[in-house]
Amino acid sequence: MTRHIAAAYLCVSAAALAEIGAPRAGCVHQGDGSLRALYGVAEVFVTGQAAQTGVVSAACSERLVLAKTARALELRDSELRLQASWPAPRGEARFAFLAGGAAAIVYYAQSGELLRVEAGREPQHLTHWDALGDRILAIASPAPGELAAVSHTAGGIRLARVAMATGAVLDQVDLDGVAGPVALTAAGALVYAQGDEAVLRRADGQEQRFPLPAQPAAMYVMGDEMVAIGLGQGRAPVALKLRQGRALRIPGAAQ
Amino acid sequence: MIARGLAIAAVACSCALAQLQLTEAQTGAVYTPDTTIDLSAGEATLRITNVGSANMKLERLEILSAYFGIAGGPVLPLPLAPKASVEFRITLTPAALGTSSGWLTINQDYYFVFADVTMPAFRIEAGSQALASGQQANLTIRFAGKAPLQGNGLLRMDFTGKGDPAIAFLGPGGRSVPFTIEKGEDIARFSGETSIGFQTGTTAGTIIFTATLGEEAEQAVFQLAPSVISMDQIRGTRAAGELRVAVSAFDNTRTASKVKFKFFDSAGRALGSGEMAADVTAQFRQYFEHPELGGMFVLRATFPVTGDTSQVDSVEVELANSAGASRASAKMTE
Repeated sequence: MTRHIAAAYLCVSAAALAEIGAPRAGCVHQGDGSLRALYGVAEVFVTGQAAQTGVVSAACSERLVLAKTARALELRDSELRLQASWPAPRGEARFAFLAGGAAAIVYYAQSGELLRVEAGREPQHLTHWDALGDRILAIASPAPGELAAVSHTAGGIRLARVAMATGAVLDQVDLDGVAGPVALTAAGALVYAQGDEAVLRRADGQEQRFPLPAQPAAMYVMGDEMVAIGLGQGRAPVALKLRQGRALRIPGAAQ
Repeated sequence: MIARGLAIAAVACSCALAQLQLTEAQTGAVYTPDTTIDLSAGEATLRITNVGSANMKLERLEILSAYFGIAGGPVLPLPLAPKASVEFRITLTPAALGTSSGWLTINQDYYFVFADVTMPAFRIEAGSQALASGQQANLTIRFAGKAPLQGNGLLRMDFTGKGDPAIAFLGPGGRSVPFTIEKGEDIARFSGETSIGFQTGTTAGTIIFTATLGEEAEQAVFQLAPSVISMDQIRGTRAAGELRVAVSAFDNTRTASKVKFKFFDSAGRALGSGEMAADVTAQFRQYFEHPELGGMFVLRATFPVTGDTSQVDSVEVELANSAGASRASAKMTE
């Protein structure tokens, strides 16, 4: 699906290489447990074939896709081709993509383990993250060497940022009015549920609300600038386009 | 058969007719045993009045039908003084579309009651604005009145243009969805919701919605006009020795022909030799031979550079198709 065209750049007499391809918008974890590529422009999406079924948790960046099935963690490339698979405890997982795009951090909700994963390497357990709290709802890596997490603490829900190497707390803030499910992006945007609404809280503190047809059941990062909101079985997930501040529905898998 | 029954009733009850009068409470319309009571519009409140000069008793008030009932009626026997009246409602619970009938009995008088049960007319509404490619919109099916009973229908979406899987309903996906109309409601439901979302895709053509309920069908037709290429996002990045530009867009005519790039410095001055143009007709024609994604595409271009790329502040992209040219620009980032 890619073709090349030639042109010249500026004063330098060099050829420009161009290709035409499918506009990938991210990945989608459908309510039926399937994981699919998602293509789209403007307000329109097309979902690809199921690359995996029985997926419990998923997230994707421009380069990587992470999928947690009942007993395995899978790392896939942007075309959803399997790159690596490791045994994993049961239950859900949270994901954070690291700067550079080749590696990610995984949090297993049931066992409370936090690991760094990368294709071609065994997962490495992170040890200095006690400050993040016990029950982590969402994680992200806002800067190289940093990990941010939204977690339940005795005092409520809190957003903390720590240095991955030492576990030193860089900053933390209580998140009043925030309830799960939650998604956190590397750019510092926070998306959380409030009844039948999704709230987008940008890094500068500005909030935008989006009415939803049902209470959110799950949230995950589905691309560099999109957060998916799962609405449970039989309902089309909603894609929150962060830059445009728009909530769009994703077609089901029946097409 | 009906006429004969009414005639017999009228003869048998001539004495009572002189004293009891049956009227519709709201309109005042008078019913005699030789007229029929049409309840096609739904339930009705009726009034029995003693129009005679002597006291009498209302001893029998019943309806012989599985589809009609009496609600709010008096406890019998009910003495009725001259000019006294009593009201009751006739309710309708049809089992199916079509004619439901029965006999209303008041003392010795019989009244033929019927209802021609039909679904109210319905229409398809898809937003207040004209539809265009690249949109999500909602569709509703509204009825002219309340449904007399529950019904099940099917909403189909047909498209006359080239293949485009993005032209589909949201939620279940695909191009047909069942709907229901609940008794007493005037709007169809899709899996419980009063509207269904859909995508207009990225291909010019005509979308035809057809809602079918029983033997009734209603259509709504929406034209998606050919348009210039719509650029959703331009991402320009500076790297060592090169500039990269990615344009996410759709061409609903699938006739993209020319692309032009222009780079600018922070003062808005065009850099280098200015505009760089390329004819991409053949490349796009080949890409659009595979209709899996309709008219959507991403165009990625890389421009080798010698010198400092940090002076490149923004990029302008122009794309042309059979409907004309469109232009958009974006800041370059690292």
